Parts: sequence; C-alpha cells; structure tokens
Amino acid sequence: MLWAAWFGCATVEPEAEIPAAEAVRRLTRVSLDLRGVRPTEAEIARVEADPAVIEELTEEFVADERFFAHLVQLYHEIYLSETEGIDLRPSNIPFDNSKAFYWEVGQEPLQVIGQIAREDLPYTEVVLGDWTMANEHLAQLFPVEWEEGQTGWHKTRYEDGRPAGGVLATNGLWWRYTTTEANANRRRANAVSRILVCHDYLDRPIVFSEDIPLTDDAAIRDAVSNDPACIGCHATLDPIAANLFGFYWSNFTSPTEGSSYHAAKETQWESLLGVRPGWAGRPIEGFVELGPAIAADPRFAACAVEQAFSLMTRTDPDLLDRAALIRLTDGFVVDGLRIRGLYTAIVREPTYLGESATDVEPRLMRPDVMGTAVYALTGFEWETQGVSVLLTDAFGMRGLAGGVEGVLIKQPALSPSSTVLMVMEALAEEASAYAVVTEAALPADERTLFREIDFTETPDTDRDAMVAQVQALHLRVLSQRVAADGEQVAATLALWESLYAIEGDVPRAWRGVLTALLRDPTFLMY
Amino acid sequence: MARSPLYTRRGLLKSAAGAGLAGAALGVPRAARASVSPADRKFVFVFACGGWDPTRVFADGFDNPLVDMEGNAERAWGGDLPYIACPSRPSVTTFFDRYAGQTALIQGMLVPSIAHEACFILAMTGGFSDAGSDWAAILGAAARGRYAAPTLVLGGPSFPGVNLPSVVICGANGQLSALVGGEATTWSAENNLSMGVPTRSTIDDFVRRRAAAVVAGASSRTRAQAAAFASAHEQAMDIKGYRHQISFADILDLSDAFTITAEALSIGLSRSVMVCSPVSGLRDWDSHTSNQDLQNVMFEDLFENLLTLMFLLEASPGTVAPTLLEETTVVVFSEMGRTPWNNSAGGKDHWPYTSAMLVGSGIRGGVNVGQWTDDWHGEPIDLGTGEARSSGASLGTATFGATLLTLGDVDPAEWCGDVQPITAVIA
Repeated sequence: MLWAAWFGCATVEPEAEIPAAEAVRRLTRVSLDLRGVRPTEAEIARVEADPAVIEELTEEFVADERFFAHLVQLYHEIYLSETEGIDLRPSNIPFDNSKAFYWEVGQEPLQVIGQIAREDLPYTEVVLGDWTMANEHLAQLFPVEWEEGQTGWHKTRYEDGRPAGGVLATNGLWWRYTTTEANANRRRANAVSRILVCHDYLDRPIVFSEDIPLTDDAAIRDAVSNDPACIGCHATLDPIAANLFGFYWSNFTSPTEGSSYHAAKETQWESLLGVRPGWAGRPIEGFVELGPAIAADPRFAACAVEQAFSLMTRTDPDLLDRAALIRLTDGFVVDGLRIRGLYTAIVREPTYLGESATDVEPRLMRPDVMGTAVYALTGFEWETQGVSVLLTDAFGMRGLAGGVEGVLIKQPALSPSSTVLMVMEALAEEASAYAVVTEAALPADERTLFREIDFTETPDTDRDAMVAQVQALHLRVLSQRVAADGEQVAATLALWESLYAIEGDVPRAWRGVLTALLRDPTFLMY
Repeated sequence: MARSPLYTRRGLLKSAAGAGLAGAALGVPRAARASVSPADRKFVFVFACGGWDPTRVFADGFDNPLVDMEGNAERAWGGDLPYIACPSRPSVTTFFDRYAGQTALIQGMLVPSIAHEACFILAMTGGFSDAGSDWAAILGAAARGRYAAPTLVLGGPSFPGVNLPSVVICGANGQLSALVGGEATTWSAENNLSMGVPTRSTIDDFVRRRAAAVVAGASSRTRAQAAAFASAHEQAMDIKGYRHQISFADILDLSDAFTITAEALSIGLSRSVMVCSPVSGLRDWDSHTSNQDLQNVMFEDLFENLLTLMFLLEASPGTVAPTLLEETTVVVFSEMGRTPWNNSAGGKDHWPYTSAMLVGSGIRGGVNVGQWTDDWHGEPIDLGTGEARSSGASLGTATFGATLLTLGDVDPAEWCGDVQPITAVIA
C-alpha cells in the first residue's frame, strides 16, 4: 500500500479490509480533523464503494486551502498567541484596534505555518524563513512590504533589516511573549524552547532555595550561574535568551519601538545577562544563527511530530504511542520535513483512531471546526461586531465553546460542557435560519441541503419526498445513511410534524429539523 | 429607550449596597453568625491580576530598611488584626473596621516563580501544569449535583482540568448572558426566522432523546463522551432555567461582578464564583512603573467593592443559613507579590512571596498567619497557630489550596498530596 512504501520500511501491517460504515466513520474523522468539514456525499459514496479511496482523499485534503486555515487554529494551541490578551498594548495605533487587532497580531506566526503547508515548504522554514505573513492592519503598523489596497493575509518581508528567523522573527510572537529588564528575555527563551523543541523549563519542579537572598542582585546572579538548584535550567535557558535582544523594548506603549527590530541592542546580553548567546550548550553568534541551530537540533523534527500527533489525536504528549512517534519522525525526516506528508502519515497511523479502529472514542469538535463545518453545509458565517464568534474571546465565544483563549484559558475542552452545547445551539439556530432562507430562494439543483423538496411538501402531500429529504439531511449533516423505514427517519419526521403544528410554516419546520441535526451529539462529536 | 439603572434588579442591589454602607456607618447591627457545614459552604474567589503589592495593605515593612513603604501610610488595627492604613485608601480602613473579626491574613506565601502565567497556575492550582484543576473548580465540582453552574467564572484565569463539566465561563463581556437569554441568536443580521419558545423546547426534547439514544447504544469505550453530552445538555437546560433570575451581561466593573456573584450564590446557581480585578482580566496590578499611584488606585477600588460584596452577602438570603455571608468564604489573592523596594521607574517588580486574605464563613477572624523575614521572604509557620517557626511548614500555594479545600469539605490529599492546611485560620 502507498503509505507502507512511504515509510520506507514497512513496520506497520497493512489494514485488513474494513466495512463500508467504518470506512465512512474514518473518512468523517479524517475530513474534520484535516480540513474542518464533513465529507461530501460524493466522497462518502466513493469510500463506500472502495474504502481504500480514503488514502487518495487524504492526499486531496492536505492540499485543500481549508487544511492550511485549520493549521492556523491548531497551532494556536501550541503558540497560545492568537489572543486579545496579548501583552504588548501600544498607544496611538493609527486605526481602530478595539476589536481583534491584537488577535491578528498574534496570528502572524500561525499564518507562517499555514503558508509553509500551503507552499509545501520544508518545516525548517518555521525558523529559517526570511519572510512573514501580514494583513492590511499589521501592514499599517509593522515595517513590511505591502501593496497599497491589498487586503487579507499575504506573504511579505520585513524592511527593518531583521535577520531571517521564521516565526522567531515575527512581531506577533514577541508581542505575545514580552519581557522586562529583570527577566532579560528568559520568558521568551522558554517560549522558544517549549514551542520549537518541546522542552518547557517550567515543567521541571522549581526548588526555590530559601537560602538565596532575593534582595541581593549579586547573590541572584551568582546563584543563576553556580547554584545547583538554578543552573539546571539557567545554564541553557540564559544563552537562548541572549539571542533575542534585537527584539528588546523598553517602552511598552510605543507602537514603533515594538514593531521594529533593534540591531543596536543585540549585544545587550552583556549587561543584562552576562551570558553569551548559545543553543543547547553550544555558543552561537546570536539571532542570525539561532534559526539554523534550532533547525539542526534533532529535537526540532521530533517536537514537530509530537505536536502534530498530539493535536490530531487530542492526546497528552506524554501519553502518545512512542513507537508511532518514532515511525512518524523517521518518515517526516525522509520526506524532507513536509507538513502535508506528516499529517497524511498521522491519519494513517493505526493509533490515530485510538485503541480500537472499529470502536472509536468520539472526539469533540474544536470551535473553529464548528464554524467551518457549519459554513460548508449552510454558507453561514457567525460574526458579531465584525469579529468571528467562534475564533475570538473578547466579544466572541471561543472559550465558552471549549477553545483555547491563550492567556487565561490554555487547554481545550475535550468533552462537551454546558457552554459548549449552548454555543452550538445558538450557532445551529442562526445557521439553519440562514440556510433555509437562502436555499428556499434557489432552484433545487443549486442547493446544498434541501434538494429533495420544494418547501411546499408535507408528509400528507408527499411523504416520499419528505423521507428522501430527511435521509439526505442525515447523510449531508451527520455523514450517516439511515433507512427510509428506520427509527431515525421516523423520529425526524415526527419532529418535523411537531414543529409544523407549532409554526404552521413549512420552511420554519425544516429550519427546526436542521437545527436539531446540527445540535445532534453525532454532529458535535465525531 | 435605555432603562433607568435603578429599574433593573442589579441597579436596585447596587443602590441598596450604597445605602447599606451608609447604614453601616451608623452602626446597624449585623446578623448573628450561623454555623454552616463545610459541605454547604460557598466560595467567592477575588483574583487581583498582575501581582499586588502587599505592603500597601497587608504586610508591615515599616521597620525594614529594604522595604519602601508609603510615606503617609501607618500601622493600624482592626480589632486584633494588623493592617496598613493610608488616607488615600479609606475603603481599606472601613473594611477592616467592620470585618476584621471575620478576616484572616496570610503573609509571606511562596509562589515559586515570577512569570505571570506560571504564577496564575501556581496560585490557583498549587502546581505547574495548566491541565491541573483550580481551587474554585475543585470546590464547585465537589457539589456538582446540587448546582446548575457549580463553578461560575466571571473573569480571570480558569484552569478547570478534569472538572471542566462543573465550570461555566461567563465570557469577557458577559457572553453567557446572550446564550442563556437567547440574544446570541439575534447577532446575525441575516437571521429573519425567529424561533419561539415552543419550537425551541420541542427541539430541546428531541436533542435530549437523541442524547439518551446515543448513550444507550454506546460501547464501553464511547459511553463516557456520550454521557458527557447528555449531562451537559441537561446542565445547559438547567442554567437557562435561571434566565429570568440572573443576567450575566454588562459586567463593566467589580461592582457589577459582585452583584452577579451574590445573585448566583443566593439563587443556588453556583457554589463557587471566580471574579477578577480588573474585570477585563488584564494585568492592571502589574506596577513596574508608578507603583504608589497604581497600587493605591487598585487597592482602593478593590476594597471599595469588597465592601459592596460584603453588604450584598449580608443582605442576600443564603440557601442554608439566613444570610449568604454566614455560608460564604471570600478568598482574596494575587498570583505574586512585588519587590520590597522601588525600581528606577518608581515601580516594583515581581516577587515570589505574597499575601492573601480570607473572610467570612469558616474563618477564624483576627488571625494574622505567617511573617516576613528581613530579606522579605516568608517564614515557615506552625500550621496550628499560624506563628512563625523555623522548623515549621513552608507556606506555599499548595498549603493555601489545602486550606481552602478543607474549608469546603474536600479532602486536600487528593489534590495537594501530603500538604496540610493552615488550621490556624479555620474556625
């Protein structure tokens, strides 16, 4: 099979033939996990006819623009940067920044990752790229090349002479992770370590020696350099910090200072840290060599795999299957560190579905997937006050929907909670209304959901059409084939009749049915 | 037409709070304290986000040359409880004059980091992992079957961990209100098919039946998620049942947050409520510059609103005791302290030792636990007496948490290991 050859050495047994229904369940998970939408009827039909088609579809999914957009949201759970709670808050920003500006700033490094996947570049671009991503808001403040009138996210370059460094050279990362004189970039150094090589210094228990007088600067510096309780971390943390002084600002309210690179400050490690730039115990010549040092670190590729596997399986990294991680890492390296190849390999891993491929524990939809899945079905985009309801927190409901806010909420919900369901309820009501109103105005063959009826039928006048429509909705919305004479069709028709009795209006009754399906446990959990 | 603020329940409560404070100045007697079982005790967590300076209110450094105290501040006493008074913070004085007998202070608590986000986690969970469960969530979850929203988070950090099903987040701008009241379905200008209550109820019942069917057909591997959905659905319906009794909208300041807090506790919606100062959740206490001015404003605002909270708790009926105050413990804390000295910008930087304040039900009033060393560390303490003792227990965030859990009838061993509570503050 293709994936076995891709690995080079077939250490994984080919799958036994799987029944069509299980193949559709697998397809549904792969489609939602990779591109944030349910499989289409055509895709379902292809997989039912030949389950092996999932491999071909997977290749299509990772080339889909929706996969690149989904990566932006996925990696926020690692970077924690796409947040309105960003640290740096300059004054006198030359446009209305009251809504989502800071959230957009924090999205910059995440958009870089999305672009790397879009162009199928090697993952090392994350730390080596001499470019970044910006939109029209960032371009008004950041010193980047920008075509007048251009809107949306585009690849660009900084014009302030900062060295290449991929996400390390983005303002977005450093506006999220600021520092102070006393901190001397150590916080940022830990962010670099945690995000890029999966080593979080704060995971280690800190034995706070009460013998060190914290009131004595000299004693603290001595302890950081010599005390066994301190040097375990600081011996490697401080040299990383020493690389980052080009991004060091003293005025936290200055929009220009925080937007530009300061080459003249690169050597401030001498006075503020007293430790030379380094990486992993070896000295380097500062920021210009930091990206290459990280890219050459074997932990970099292994961390990329661990993060992707953890995100896709929603499993704590410490609990991931080690053999699978090794397989995936070997393949990632052989494949030239391509994100698309990595995610393809992950969904082909036997452990991707959990302990059993045939009895799969359902996964809760992330908030961004709630939005993209509903949009694909209904065309509805949920916004309030000009911002996305499902992707933001200050005015949106990302946190209530189980998402990661980034500063105050750092873990996603893995199980449904009351607010998750309330958010889904509101989304379902809004989206179903939009869908019904929109589709009722279209000819049947131009609709997405309601192709089997004309919004005039009732069970009394055309039961066959009603049944066909209910079956079609189950397939399109829930990716489930249900029998015309089965329980689910009967229950859904009974719901329709109850709603029609209340509303006295055919479109409103269908709106209610669609709302119920979007609120179904098998829509939200897959 | 905008409604007059007085003609909302919240407006009436706020107005009454103001009048009540005036009444308090005339010496209006307060209700006698009832004894409440720890299992019935409620909690209000007030989190000062950014790192407060204990020397403004709690920590006496007047005789320590390392410590930059305010020039016009002085030692004061609320009964047996020492605190720091300053003419520019009259609310602090009023608070201790009225409530010192129900208040305990904790001095020199170690939060072993000086990074804000690490300290959030440490202060609220006792550990370093953001997957851990915070004290408010643990206490709420312990009473999960009795409350629709066992832990209500009106602002600030939230680390629900395994207790996520018990935690209900309100949203930075009260978005929960829009969900509960149905306004969220009117946000889209494109929606011109409104849904009435009978229709929504019919759909709710359908979803309930579907959830039950999924549970019934679940395997042992899939049952947990299916059951979680079914339970969350019922909980959501329960919370929406309170929509005419409480609104989470328009949390513009601490006063609004405390008013909602009192309402949520009084109507039996929640067991623990988390509130953040400031309500935005930004680190406004983080005074790296102008420490004197900034901390002065923040502490005065905090204590002015704590007086409102205390009045509201006194004026609101409890669910097991005559008043909420008799069954509620108020926990006031911050993620870190500040350096004892000023920096070159007139600010104070991060410091790993801080103070905390406990008020109300279950608290032995007038107790000041812990002590500051000459180097402005926290001394080890005798957990039973609260006095400094070199051979005593280290006073850290896990000790703090163990104390709170004990107050709430939760075995701290499950969450804090073998760390023992500070029994000196427990009545």
